[in-house]
Amino acid sequence: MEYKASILVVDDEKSFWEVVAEGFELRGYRVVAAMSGEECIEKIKTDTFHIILLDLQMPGMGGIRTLEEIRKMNPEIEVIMVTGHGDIALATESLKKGASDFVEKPISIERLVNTVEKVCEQRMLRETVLLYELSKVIFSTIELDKLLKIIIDLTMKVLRADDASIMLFNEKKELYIAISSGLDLDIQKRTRLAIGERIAGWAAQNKEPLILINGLRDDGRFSDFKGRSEIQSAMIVPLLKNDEVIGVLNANRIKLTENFTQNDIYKSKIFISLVSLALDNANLYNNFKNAQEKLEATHMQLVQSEKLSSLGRLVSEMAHEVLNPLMVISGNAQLILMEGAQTDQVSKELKVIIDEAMKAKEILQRLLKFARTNKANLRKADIGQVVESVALLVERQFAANKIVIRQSYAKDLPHVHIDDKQIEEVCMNILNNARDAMPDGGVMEILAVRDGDRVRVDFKDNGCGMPDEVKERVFEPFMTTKEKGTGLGLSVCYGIMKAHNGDLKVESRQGAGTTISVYLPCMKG
Amino acid sequence: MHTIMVVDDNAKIRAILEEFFSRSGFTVVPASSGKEAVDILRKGTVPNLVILDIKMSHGSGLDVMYEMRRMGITPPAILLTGTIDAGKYADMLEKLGFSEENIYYKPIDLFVLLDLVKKRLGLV
Repeated sequence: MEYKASILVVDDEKSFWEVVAEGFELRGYRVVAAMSGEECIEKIKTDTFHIILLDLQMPGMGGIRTLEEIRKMNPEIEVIMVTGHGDIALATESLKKGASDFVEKPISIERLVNTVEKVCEQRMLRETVLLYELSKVIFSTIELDKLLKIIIDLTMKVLRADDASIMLFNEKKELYIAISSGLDLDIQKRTRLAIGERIAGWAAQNKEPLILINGLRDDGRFSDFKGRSEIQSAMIVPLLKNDEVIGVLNANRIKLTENFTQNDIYKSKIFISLVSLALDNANLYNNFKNAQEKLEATHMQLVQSEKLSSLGRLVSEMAHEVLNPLMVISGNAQLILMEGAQTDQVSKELKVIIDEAMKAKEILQRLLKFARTNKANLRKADIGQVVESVALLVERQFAANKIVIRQSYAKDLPHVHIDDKQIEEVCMNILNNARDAMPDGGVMEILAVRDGDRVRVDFKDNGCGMPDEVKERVFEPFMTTKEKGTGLGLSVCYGIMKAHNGDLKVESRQGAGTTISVYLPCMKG
Repeated sequence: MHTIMVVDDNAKIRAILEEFFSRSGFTVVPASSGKEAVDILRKGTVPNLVILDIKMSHGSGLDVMYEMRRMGITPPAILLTGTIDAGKYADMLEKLGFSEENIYYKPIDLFVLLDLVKKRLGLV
């Protein structure tokens, strides 16, 4: 049954509260009675009230002291003082101490109802304004990081918590701590919960808020939350979007001795729904942003490969156009040579023509090798061994250039499917570039690790690095900074890595060195 | 005397090959396209060897090989090409029972080509 509000009537006169109870129950309120200040305090601990009608003059703990106690425990309950005739001075004092209003005995039930309704209206208005203010703040940003910070601050204020945290789901559908005001970073990073696991997981699974009193101390499920035994009471609320859980909000009271009650859950409902909505918005925005970034990356890759393939076509067509004339040149020279009617000098010169034509053919062939999409001849291999063999090959030469090679291969590196000749070519190319980047010597670090479902080999030099404009074009054919370079090395490497369903990435800062990372998919099974 | 059919759509290259192999003692039958080569073959000319350009405007070297196969003529063939993406034709060549190793790239040293021709004809 829904009540307009819950009223606690505190009066030592039974006849008084019986009349009041009847009057209010008829009007749709729930009424509970307490015969003394002490009983009132006990009732507040276990039940939820919106309004307390408090007699000023009671034996034992008087009205004023009871009011003070109520305020300490819960500043949000509306207290209306019921005063005897001539208690104006005390009534005024009670207003100063936080009572909402007072009524004088003898009571007219209509007046009392009016007063209660007025107080309820004021309260609703206050709450509405507060929610409006909250929503303004919550919806002031759509960026997840900023929003989480705002929510944590608001949670501590609105729920009067000493610390708070928000758990969200990662891609594996595990809860992780997205933000926390109290937990240290290490616990934050380590904590991953499956739905249903531990208390936050339970709240997420059951889609029900939860209150724990001294719970962390006694609950074995929180055993690895070391140092959290100081928590007095905790509120764990699932954040729902429609009927789907998008996260969990945890609020803890440490210094405040008043425990969370069902009333806190009730009161925070709208706040929580605002939080859920804002988080959902931020999530959508975040997903959108990620998708956009991915799209941009794909686009870049497409542009890159399009550039390469159109260049490949160009080279291939150009070669055809040039190779035929070269054949005509060298062929005619050979025909003249064949006649044998020329002087030795002319023969020599004809041979130069023929030789140069053949040289031109070789250059074109090298270009075409790049333009051709070579099918890789894949075999199962240990990438560590392949890289090591290339490192061994260049070791002496590097030593002569005062370059030290340091190698580190993770144990249990998964096997890869590669054309080892091609991958050797890639490594060799990268190492040669690194050597050229360290003319005065340096350190070449080679590191092979597993990186998700790929193997990554980093080639890190501490050479001259490259400026951004070079970095951006580093895989472009004919892009070179070397006097004698063809600018095909890294383009060929890039093509090879793509043919292996792998990748090649460059990190570089001018003056600080370059790291080229080779990615290869792990062999399945 | 052995007859060599030279098929190339580049007139200058055709002229060089014709001149060179005539001087080297062969009878040369030139054709300027795959289509012309097939016409000549249909009229009954049976060469001892063919030198074929792959990419031509009317009928490729591969078309010629395919036609010859249909006509039951299988002289040794040397493919001479200016396009180096012979990989593109690998499947077709395989169907014709022709390995990629028999493809030569222009420009070729004519004396190297002569050695090849003699070898294929069993003259050395």
